[in-house]
Amino acid sequence: MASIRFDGVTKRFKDGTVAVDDLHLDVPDGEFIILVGPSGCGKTTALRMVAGLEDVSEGSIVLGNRVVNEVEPGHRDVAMVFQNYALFPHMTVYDNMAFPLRMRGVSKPDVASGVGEAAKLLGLEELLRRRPNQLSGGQRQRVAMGRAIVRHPAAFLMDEPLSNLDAKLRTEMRAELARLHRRLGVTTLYVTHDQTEAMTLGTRVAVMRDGVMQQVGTPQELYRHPRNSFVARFIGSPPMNLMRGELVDGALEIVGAAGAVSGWPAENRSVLVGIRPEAWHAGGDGAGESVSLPAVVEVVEELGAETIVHFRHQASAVDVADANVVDAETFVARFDGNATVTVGERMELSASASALHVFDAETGEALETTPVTA
Amino acid sequence: MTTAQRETAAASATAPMWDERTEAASHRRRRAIKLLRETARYLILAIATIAALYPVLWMLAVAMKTQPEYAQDPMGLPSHINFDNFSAVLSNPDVLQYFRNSVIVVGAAVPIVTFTAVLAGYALARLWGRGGMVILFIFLFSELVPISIVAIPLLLTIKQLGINSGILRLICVYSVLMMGFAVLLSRAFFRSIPEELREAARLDGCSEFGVFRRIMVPLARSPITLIAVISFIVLWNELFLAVVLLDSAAGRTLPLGLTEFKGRYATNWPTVSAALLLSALPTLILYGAFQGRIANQFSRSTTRE
Repeated sequence: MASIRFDGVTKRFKDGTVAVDDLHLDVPDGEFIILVGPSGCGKTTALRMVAGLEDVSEGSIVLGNRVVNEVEPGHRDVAMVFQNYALFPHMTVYDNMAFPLRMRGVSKPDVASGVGEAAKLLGLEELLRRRPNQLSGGQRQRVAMGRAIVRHPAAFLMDEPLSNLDAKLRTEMRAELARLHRRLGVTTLYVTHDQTEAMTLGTRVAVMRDGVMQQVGTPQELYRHPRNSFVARFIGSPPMNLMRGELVDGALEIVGAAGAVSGWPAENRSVLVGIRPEAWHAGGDGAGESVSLPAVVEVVEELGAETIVHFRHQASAVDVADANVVDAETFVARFDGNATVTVGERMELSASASALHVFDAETGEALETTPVTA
Repeated sequence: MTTAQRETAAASATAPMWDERTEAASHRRRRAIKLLRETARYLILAIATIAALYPVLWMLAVAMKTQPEYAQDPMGLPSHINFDNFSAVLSNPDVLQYFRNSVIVVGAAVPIVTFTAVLAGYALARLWGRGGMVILFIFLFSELVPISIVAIPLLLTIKQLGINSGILRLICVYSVLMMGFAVLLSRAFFRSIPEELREAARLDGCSEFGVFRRIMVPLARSPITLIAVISFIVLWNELFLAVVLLDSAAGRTLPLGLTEFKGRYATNWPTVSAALLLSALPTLILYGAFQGRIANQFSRSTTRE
């Protein structure tokens, strides 16, 4: 097992595109870290540079205590699970899993033993004589993991391995992955665009955007203390509501909403105010400082355990996707599954001061000082 | 109610419902149309099959006739099954020599073409960058140039290289004659294989040549077979370059030899037919043996998983 370190890693393609920009990231030995972000953010490129499938333009990648920039992929002692599994179609499951061992000159008995052990771990014993085209998606995924496991590598690299599976299977495989990691304890770098996978699987999560690392921390840190508005909207489903606000002499106001929150630095600036869907409460403000606004229910999604309500208000909401601030018209709230809400209903929504996240309207960075709540 | 009205009401009560009658008629009409369509389809297929097979069957009929029989009735069936013409061809020592030369020439050229094209196709598909496009264009251009234009320069080049053996000349030229087609087909196939397979193998410790040998070639069985079979068929029947490049009877291949054969038996068409049918046998057998894999490759090229 080994640690993985990105030391100022940059990847510049021939056409000038900077896919990864000055990436600094430390992955300690045994950690399961997630690289998450929208398509094109550089997470897969970063993973492929660790694998040796992409050259590093600047900086260095360190595996254990070895700089591996110039080391061939086959000599880095990392195993990769691809998005489309990359199983060899002309080989049986047994031969696919035995392949890495045979490439290393392992003896036949040891190959059989290694494959058998991995097959048992993944429940593949009955499938060893089949070919990939005779397997379901979930079975193929497990064979791909088995091929990675047999090598006992220093690190696992996983490139969106669950993205081709249906929702139910994805949930099962997530649990399987978590179980495997607990059992094997191998350093794992896992790439996904699905923030649910990111929140549930990883010890830590690194959010990327346009090649730049936005924030790295535990799932709870990212959820509760997003460093900027992009992380705030990306982590959490439904995403955080962002609204325009103003800091006026230390008082925070949301445009179009009633109430103000005091205790902020005495400055005047435009801000973005973030409120998680579960932070909204129906009815007037409770104890302590809060903000409230009248809203009209537009869409109700009853999910059983919870009810997601989309409502409309004249306070201008903000979508920071693609770095463009676009005025949206609807907000989202999450209520208990027993809540009865009807389309067209008018209701007063409130959120307490402690639930507000405030970001600079220009830079999107979170304001460091939080207000003193009553 | 008038009498006419009563009669109409009584008739309506006992007759089937209007929509049931319409449905039955519609069903009969649909069946008739379907039958007509199927008949037309099989008729067209039958005509096409007969049109394709007729020349071969006619040649077989001619080959089983005697010369007087043929002169009397060229288009008719033979009076009895007769293999004398086939025996005459097979017992002719010159024919056996031509056959031997064809086997040597094509037997050497086809493996050279196949082996080289598979290697080159993979390299152009996966290992070369922009430089590969230039080479690819050269191969593509070579397919567009009629062979008759380059035949004389080819002969001069062969002579300058000092290659005097007819068989060796043909092996060299035949090996490159099919190269353009073979490389293009090979490259197209290797481009269709996901790059991830190569990357996965490299990560597992496989060398670049190991990837080619252990992963790519096993996957390429169908296109390799297609290249080999098509090359064999084309080269086995090749006549023009044999005429240009061979300046002695020693290296004559079967197609060239058979033209002389025809000259010798200026009017013995039954014997000529027997000779042509026998010369086509190897290609027919080869295609028959591998037609499954060839059809598989063609269907793969038109459907994607």
